[in-house]
Amino acid sequence: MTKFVVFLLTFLAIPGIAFSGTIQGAAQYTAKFTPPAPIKTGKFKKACGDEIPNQSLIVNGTGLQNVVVSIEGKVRGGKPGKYHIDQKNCRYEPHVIALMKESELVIHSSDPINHNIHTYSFENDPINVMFTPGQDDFTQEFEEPEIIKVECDLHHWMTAWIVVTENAYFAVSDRDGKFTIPDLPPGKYTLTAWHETLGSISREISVGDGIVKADFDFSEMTPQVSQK
Amino acid sequence: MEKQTFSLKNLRNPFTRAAKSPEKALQEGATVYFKHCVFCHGDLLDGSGVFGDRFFPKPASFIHEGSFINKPEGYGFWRVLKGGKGLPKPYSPWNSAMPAWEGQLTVDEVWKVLLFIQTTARERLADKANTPSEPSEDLGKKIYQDKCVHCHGATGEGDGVITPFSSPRPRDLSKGHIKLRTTPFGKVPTDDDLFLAITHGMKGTTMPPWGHLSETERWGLVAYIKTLSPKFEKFEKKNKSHTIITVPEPPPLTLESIARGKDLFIKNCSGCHGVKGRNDGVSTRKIVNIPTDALWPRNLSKPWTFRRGVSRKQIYLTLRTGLSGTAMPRFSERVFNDAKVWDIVHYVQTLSLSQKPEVSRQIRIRRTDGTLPENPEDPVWKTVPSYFFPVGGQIMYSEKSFFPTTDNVYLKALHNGDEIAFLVEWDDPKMDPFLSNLIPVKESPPPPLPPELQVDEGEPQVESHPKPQKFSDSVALQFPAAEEQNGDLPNFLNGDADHPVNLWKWDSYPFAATELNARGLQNWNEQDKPSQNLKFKASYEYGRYSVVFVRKLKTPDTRQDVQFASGAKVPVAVNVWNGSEGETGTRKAVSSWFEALLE
Repeated sequence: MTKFVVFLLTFLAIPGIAFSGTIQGAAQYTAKFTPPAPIKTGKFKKACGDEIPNQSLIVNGTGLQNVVVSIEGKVRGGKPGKYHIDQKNCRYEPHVIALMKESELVIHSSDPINHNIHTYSFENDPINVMFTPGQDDFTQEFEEPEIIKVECDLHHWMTAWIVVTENAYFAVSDRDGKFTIPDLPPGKYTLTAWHETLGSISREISVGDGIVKADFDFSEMTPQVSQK
Repeated sequence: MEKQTFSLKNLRNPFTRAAKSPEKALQEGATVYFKHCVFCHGDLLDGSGVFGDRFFPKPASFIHEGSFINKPEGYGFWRVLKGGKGLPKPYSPWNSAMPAWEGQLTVDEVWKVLLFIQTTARERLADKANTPSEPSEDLGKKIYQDKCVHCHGATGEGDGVITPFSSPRPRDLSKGHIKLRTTPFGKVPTDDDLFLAITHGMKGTTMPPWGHLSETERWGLVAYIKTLSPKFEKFEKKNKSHTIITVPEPPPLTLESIARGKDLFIKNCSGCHGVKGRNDGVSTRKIVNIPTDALWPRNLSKPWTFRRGVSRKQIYLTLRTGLSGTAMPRFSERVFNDAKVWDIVHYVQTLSLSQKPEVSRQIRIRRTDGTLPENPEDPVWKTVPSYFFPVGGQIMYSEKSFFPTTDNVYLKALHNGDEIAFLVEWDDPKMDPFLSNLIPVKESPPPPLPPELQVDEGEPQVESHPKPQKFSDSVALQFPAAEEQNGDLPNFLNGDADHPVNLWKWDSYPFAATELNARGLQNWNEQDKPSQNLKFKASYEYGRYSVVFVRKLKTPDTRQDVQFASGAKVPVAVNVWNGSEGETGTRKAVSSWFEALLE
């Protein structure tokens, strides 16, 4: 029986090389809200700039930025990669980063002052590294799927999110809320969209050949302090 | 609860013999023990629980032939139900911190916990002839389920019976991280690290040292614990190897090294540990969250609380490895070469007392001429001997304080034949903001920036009417009320109905020092205005409160007020509340009685 299933999957997979789907959509937020105020850096202004934008809820028109859209479970294809995060002007760039498990994250600091990058991870090895100015990069592998909050213990406003996914099929919504997950093997999937303060929405989706549309409307969700 | 009368003679534990399932009773007894008794009597039943060194007489050890386990069963039953209060007069009534458990535990619970203590203590005392010679996962599992499960839980997730009452919480072994390792921050520990963690325990926490288990048993535990987290299996599957941090020989200690260390400490450590090391740094408020087990940074002025130990090599290893699961980062070689780390180690050692002050149950109050120092900053106080008062959580009666932030108070006192002054000092990393304009305040500044990045923001703005925190930070000195001074010593927990105490209580909000009388934990009364005769001054410096109380030796209220006289002995105890951590009312830290002798 097992053999038969394997054979069947292989049979399906061969045409899959030329036969793959793409999920395209947008994350939206149309509720009325007061954009979170930028943070004044006070005595750090020469090192950080006067203000740091608060990136916990960024909406342009109806588009919601920094939503991580990913597919649940194991899906074949794709490879772990190498990603970069920078501590620059006392914020993390990018603010939200998604990567497939077993990927590496290279952490850099461009700032002239100390930062202490601290990940609140449990499934993955936590990081807690003091960066002094001009220090070498630090590379960390993320082994398990997990949503990880990143903070600097020295500058309370510095926050980032690392979303480690089970497979290679994920995207982070852009300035207009748009995202694209290409080259997906056909099949039925659970698609989850996660936002750091609004929470997550899941839906079932069937992917065949060509483009499937999937929009996520977060308007009914109430912003929370943290959605981890 | 209905009143029941027992004849102690010939009283038998109903769960020892006839019970259908002694195993179940034993387990339930263990649950009672780990919810109520472990904090003083300890995980190992040897009287060395978290608060084992805070109260006098010391909590009883059950691991000796003379303990209640070999006495008639009615004896243990009576001691638990009646507690220290129930002791007959010749046995220092009132002094023991053992609560009376009648009304708190059911009769069945008492018998079950006695069964658990008796069974466990006898096992410990028995010869261990049958220990297997080979460590194995199975052996480890057996010991784990018997000994470790109460705290670390059935699957190792740190969710045992004790968890709600323990801070830090028991380690979640399913995540594969332990605090003290020789591997870098966030990496799995070596087998030796696990073995040592079991052997030495974690000082100051509910994790005791398990060195009395045989090596075979401890290695068995290591083997089993490694199965509780997938990290170890994965580590082996991927053929990874440990990066082990070794400690080089320390260089000679020099004044130059300490000076360099100070500079490094202020730049890199004071953000959390504060400039004097009393964990009052500007970042701590953001980091600490006790309900999520985000702990206070170590108070470096109290080296006896260092988890790993106080030797230079031990501090070096903590700096190099960081403490997994906490905000303590590791100081990697890429940034801090060995010389720099040793410099920091040398400076850290200057922040602390060289050893834990001895506890003297009798304190001497010197007589001086002239006026008494009413200011905490008065240099006269520097010449007065300081007495160390251990304080522990009020865990005797509800509502209880299982993990107070205060573990000791320093007390100094002077008198001049007319007045008496007490200086009470204790560490509290967060000052009630209400005090900002009321008392002299020095708070740890943020770590300095390089000169080219500094901004002149002017003097920091202090709000003119800062809001108080929800609960007041408070301290109280306790004495027997005058009417009791020649009679029985009142119970150390604020006396009782027949034996009142007199309390001098200082509050951050409303900002005042008040004279009270109490007849038990719940029954407190402020004295009338004309009887309020306390003068006081307070200050806060880098995580430490100092409060001076001054009063006449004698007052007109010779019934409610404590009365002092040259040559007299007066019992004294302290209560402390850390309001920002939710301590109020009976949730507080308390000391046993001490005796003050006025010269």
